[in-house]
Amino acid sequence: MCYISRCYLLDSRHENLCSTLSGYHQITNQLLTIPERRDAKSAEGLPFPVRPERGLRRSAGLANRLHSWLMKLRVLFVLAGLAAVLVLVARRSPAVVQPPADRGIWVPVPTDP
Amino acid sequence: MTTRVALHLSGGLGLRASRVLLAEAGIQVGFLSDDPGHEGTDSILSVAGWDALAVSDVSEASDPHVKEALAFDIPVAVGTHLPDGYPVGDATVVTGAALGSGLAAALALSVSNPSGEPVDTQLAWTVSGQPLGMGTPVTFPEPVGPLWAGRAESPLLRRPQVTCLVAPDDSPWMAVVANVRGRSNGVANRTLGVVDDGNFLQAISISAALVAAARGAYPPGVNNPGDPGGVYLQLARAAGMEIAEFSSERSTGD
Repeated sequence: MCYISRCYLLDSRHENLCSTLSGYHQITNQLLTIPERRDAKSAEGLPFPVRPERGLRRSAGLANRLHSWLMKLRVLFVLAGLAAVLVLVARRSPAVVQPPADRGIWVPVPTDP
Repeated sequence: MTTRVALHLSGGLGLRASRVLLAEAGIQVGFLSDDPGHEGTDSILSVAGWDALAVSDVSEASDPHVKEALAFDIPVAVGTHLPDGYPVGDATVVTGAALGSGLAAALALSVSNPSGEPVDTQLAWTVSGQPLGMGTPVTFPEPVGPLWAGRAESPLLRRPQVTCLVAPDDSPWMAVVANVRGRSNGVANRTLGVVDDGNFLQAISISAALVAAARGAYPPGVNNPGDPGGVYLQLARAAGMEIAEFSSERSTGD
């Protein structure tokens, strides 16, 4: 039984029906049919067993969340890299520009005899 | 008559100062340290019986010697500033003897007329550090040249018309400039400057202040290196310090 799409068909008609749903359901259907076939009796009269559905949804949610965090981390890594490059460029920038010198010359002061 | 001076100078300053002092005739040098001392100098444990003492700064190591010298009324030349509230009593102390600020103040004093009309004075000196990117421009003698400078505290506390500028510089040179400007047509506008290797100039400055103090050039109390009689600058110039005067194009072209 496909618990996610609430489809009780166990033959190819199940797949045809469920394939019209999202990709998420298509993936989980492959997993969900396994316990159904192993213990078909326990599924009788239970249109939506709670445990498998919740557990699988949770694992799929975790995967999504993990993927989302990884994407955010990737953005953070890119930003940190850019900041490091900017700091290096600033440090290697040419020396401070000297102010304009006063117009004139320095002449030695003679020592008193 | 031999002038007997005691040194408690840290790092290479002691060696350089002793060489400057021993180059002059009639000066005996004693080192207050556990080191065997340098060639031509005496290793001593007490400042008693000596004419003057020079210390790099007032630290845990030098403080007993400074206090002993002050107790014996022996003049002390301190390379940096004294700690706030340090008890000096009636003894003679010269502070900032190895700093650019002290030398700049001495240059200004040499061209100022203490009894005449008030003048505006600008002192500037370099310190070790990264050059500033903005501030007040100051033209030091070459090879330092023009640098940006920031405001600093005045070493001439009794002269309010003094502007002090400090310019960080990452070269081994040390430079100072003193500009004294009169407020009427009758008073000259003079700019004096000094530039040399920083270590050498520090050694010359503290040595000159030390010998000047030993010869009684300073009055009792806390003093800057510049003395009214100009003994400090005379000794510094005798030790190899060169002074230059800035001459603007306007005055040279006319």
